Amino acid sequence: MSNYQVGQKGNGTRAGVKTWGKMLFYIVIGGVVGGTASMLILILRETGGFTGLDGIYEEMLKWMPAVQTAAFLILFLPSLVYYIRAARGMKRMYSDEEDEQNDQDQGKAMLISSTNIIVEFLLFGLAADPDYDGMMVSVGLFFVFTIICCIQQALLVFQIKRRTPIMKGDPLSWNFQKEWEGSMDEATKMITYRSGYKAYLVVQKGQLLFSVLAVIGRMLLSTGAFPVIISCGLWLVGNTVYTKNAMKNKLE
Amino acid sequence: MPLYNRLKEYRAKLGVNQAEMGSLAGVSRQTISLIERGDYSPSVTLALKLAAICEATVEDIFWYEEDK
Repeated sequence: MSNYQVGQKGNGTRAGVKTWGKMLFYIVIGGVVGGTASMLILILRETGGFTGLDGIYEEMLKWMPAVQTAAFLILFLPSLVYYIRAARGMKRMYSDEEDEQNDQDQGKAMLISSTNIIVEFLLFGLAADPDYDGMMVSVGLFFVFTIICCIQQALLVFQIKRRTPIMKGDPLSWNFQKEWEGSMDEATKMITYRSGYKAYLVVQKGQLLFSVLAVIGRMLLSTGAFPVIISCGLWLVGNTVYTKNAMKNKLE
Repeated sequence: MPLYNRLKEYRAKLGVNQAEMGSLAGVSRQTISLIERGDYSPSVTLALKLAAICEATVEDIFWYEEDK
């Protein structure tokens, strides 16, 4: 065995000890954080701290149609402004800087509009309470607001297609995602895949946290098994789809 | 990124903006912008296409330098 190999082995052993040490440290930290959180939740439950949260939820439920409308308008109006700005900018595209600004406006409009749909879905989920008298009003508002957001997103897609003629796909078609991805050029594909990977990493970390919270909630707050099943199910699907595609080792 | 380019200069000589250059090369304006900024290294196919549009060789537009 040469000196180089001996040195490598020595470094490997040191690195191994360091990795195990780190792992042990994280386990201890995780235990301390989990234990402290559980203790805090127990104290809050014993002292009636969660009754306050129930009160806030019940009060919000009374005003749910107004809350839904306000949330929709707060997010819809800025996205509309960005959409109109991008549309106006398209009529007078002269410089590269103006083009860049238009891209930014379109991106912001799309992001805010998508956020609007998620927020509306969240409020709809909170209003879907069998004991809530105004549930049907909330359901109606949810449908109206979501349809408006979907129309806005379709208009944004048409706008992007006008600006970038290589992009293909009908937003009303079931194959839209596939056609859209297929028409992307090499740099756009790279940005999209990189963003997708970053989102995957964030969601993986989020799933771990959410699963722990779901287990703590089940033990201490009687939230039931459903959140644990959903969280771990999504975690499993995300992980399997990513790993299976990475193992294919080919570009489609 | 160690791949440098003079695409902006060649584009200026042609008198086209990024969107028009993208349309000539069959890519988006964003791709041209990313290449010019050095944030993206184009594929060989795209580099050849861009060189043909600029009536230059790939080496005239792109060159490689190790990071110092």
